[in-house]
Amino acid sequence: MEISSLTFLYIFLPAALLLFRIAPAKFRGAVLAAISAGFVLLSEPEHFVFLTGEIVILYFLSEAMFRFSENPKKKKAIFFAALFLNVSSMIVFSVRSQLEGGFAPFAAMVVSFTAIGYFVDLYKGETDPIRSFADFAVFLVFFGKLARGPLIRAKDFRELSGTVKPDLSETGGGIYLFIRGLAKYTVLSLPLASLRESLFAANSEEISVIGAWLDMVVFSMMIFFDLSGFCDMARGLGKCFGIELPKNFYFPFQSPSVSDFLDRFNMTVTAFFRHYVYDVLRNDKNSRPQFIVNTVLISMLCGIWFGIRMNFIFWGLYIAAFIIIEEFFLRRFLEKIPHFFARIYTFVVTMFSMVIFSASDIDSILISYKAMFGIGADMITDSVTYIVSQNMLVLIGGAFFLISAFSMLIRRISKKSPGLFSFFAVIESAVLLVLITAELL
Amino acid sequence: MKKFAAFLILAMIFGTSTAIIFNISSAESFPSEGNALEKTESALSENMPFRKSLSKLMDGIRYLSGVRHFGDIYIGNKGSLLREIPKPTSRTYSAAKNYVIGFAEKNQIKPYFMLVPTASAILRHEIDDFASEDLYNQRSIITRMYSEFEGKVRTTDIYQTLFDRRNEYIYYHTENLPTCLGGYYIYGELCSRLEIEQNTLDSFSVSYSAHGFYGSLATDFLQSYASPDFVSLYEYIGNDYNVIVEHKKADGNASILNGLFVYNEDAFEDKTDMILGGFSPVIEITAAESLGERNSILIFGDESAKSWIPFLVSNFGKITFVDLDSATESLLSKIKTSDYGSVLFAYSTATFTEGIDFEKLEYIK
Repeated sequence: MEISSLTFLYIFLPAALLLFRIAPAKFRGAVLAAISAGFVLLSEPEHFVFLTGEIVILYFLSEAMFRFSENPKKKKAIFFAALFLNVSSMIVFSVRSQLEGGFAPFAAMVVSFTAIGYFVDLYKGETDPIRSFADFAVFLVFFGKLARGPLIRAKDFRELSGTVKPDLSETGGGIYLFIRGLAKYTVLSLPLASLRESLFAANSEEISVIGAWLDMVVFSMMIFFDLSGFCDMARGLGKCFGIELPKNFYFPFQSPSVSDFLDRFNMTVTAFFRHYVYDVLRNDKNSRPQFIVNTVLISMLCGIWFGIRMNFIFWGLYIAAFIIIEEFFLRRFLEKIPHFFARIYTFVVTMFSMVIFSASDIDSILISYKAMFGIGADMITDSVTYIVSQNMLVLIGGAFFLISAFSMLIRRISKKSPGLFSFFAVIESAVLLVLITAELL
Repeated sequence: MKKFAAFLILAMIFGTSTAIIFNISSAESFPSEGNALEKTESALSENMPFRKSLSKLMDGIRYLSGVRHFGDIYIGNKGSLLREIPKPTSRTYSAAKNYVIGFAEKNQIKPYFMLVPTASAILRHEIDDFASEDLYNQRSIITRMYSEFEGKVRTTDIYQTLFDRRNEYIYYHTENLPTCLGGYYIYGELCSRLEIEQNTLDSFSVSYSAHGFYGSLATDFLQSYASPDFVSLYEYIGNDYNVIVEHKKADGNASILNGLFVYNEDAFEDKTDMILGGFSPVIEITAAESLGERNSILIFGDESAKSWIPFLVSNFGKITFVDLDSATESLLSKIKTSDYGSVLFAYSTATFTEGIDFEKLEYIK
């Protein structure tokens, strides 16, 4: 069962909400853990036993770490055992999905990275252990965040941990956010994916300048609406069940610098690597070579999050190169020029990065870049003109929602006139629900 | 968010959910294909309140945004619905070649072969120029198939003839079949290939029926953008002759029709079934005056033959039409090739590329 399915929307979600609300307060964590287990069982039955086993082992390791907190040797051994278990599980899942031709094993990545963060924090004494098994399970496999994240740290999670009953306003607000995320995915990302498939086929036969540029823009929009849509769904579901999940995307393509782009694109993952890798490697001297090494490492890890593939590693290197150039040469210039031009610069650079992100091999990257600059390619082919004519609405819609204008307007309304915002939210939810349902039929 | 607004948003989800469950519980059947989750997803989709309206809405939005291509159907700018054909494989050509030549050699009968292009090829000017790039080139399919026969089979090329008359009503707007007028032009080319005399169009009386019908291509949404059709029935008036059409069904039953047409349009859901009284695995058409062995023909084909067979009846004393896909072994084993002077394989390019059950030719002795 996918989170973007009619079964989830109209059967699983209402049933889960009802179960959660009627459960006595002290069992709410257990109910949410059971709901999440049910979701994993229905969506990835082949991984259910493994994930359950992994969580049980990790829970006992967490308990052991608590018990031996005064014994540094044992504590260290337990920490490395947890680290080994999570890293090897990530590698096994990642390699297996590569061999099977799949994309990134997001659920396995989300669970493993969250667990690694938790054990590092626990080891360093930055968080207390999660003693309840149900809370621990919800922290790792809350069903809302399994698809694409976001990552959450234990210190941000534990205050709520599914034991607080959200009121009607919070639940309604959560569903509203969930519907918006689902609409981003079904109404924008899926049609963009189909448009990209057509463009890919047209470009494979005869690549053109506009075809190559369009492919890059469409892919960027598709990946943005996919990832940020899933993140909104996760946050919305979190609200419904009393879990505050962080934002993961904040209009990355209108960042004023590439460095800022990385902070807005998959931001919980970037923050994770910054906290657990960059800060550990950084020392007081903070030299240029060290900055370069750390930046390259963090950017590459941000790429590898999407899968252990050469193009993701190259994407990380490309982003790192621009962050380093900005740090040493462009920072003052970018701060001086009007914000709009800084954003244009970032937009172009990050869009170009998406050619690498989406490519299957180096040859196809070179072919795309050459075509974009008119080397050995016509300006436009008939097929591309046709594809554009057939997809005007999704292209315009994608471009419109890629920037923050609409979101800013909604936020302003919600601050200045909560009543008007509520009215607007009901209308928007109804319209989006109709569109989503029609698309999923 | 205000409580009342939150309540309304939750009510939308729970209300729809309840309505679906109610619909499913009162539905006659539950989907049977796929695993439990797939069945549930299909059941939810099938029992969604306002399902048709929702689909129509989505298609309407796509149409407004410029989409003219729904599934494998293109909406032409003159109201025709044009169905794309699948891509043929090398096996499609080799199977046709081997079975047709093999059948003719084994039975010592003169073989003829004809591929009838569909409207998506002849009327491609009705689709946006760029869209037609997507359409498979039927001209090349026909040329390749004919060249595969290496002169061992006599082929009839009707592409150009139909293309020259593309502005006439030669294809139904909402059925993937030629009209009877289109069928007359096909008949004309067949006559010259079969070396028989072509009867002129004024040798046939024409009557029009089933005005305003929509065929199988016009789904709820597409109907809004398609022109309706009518059926034209051409009856030979050159001689006073009686025609008997015998339909032989797969279950062994048979029915007889006196005359080539059923003039009651209400008798059929598919209005093109007024021609020959419908479609059966084997249709035997005999004219009362026997014209001898030379004027008997065995035809293997598909529904596109409905458009031109009525004309051919004016030249042949006996026509046996066989649909290999639906014909059974017992029906086929009763056919004797020695009763016929020639054999014609005539298929639309759509049927040809989808695949023809040529293996069944083995049942004919």
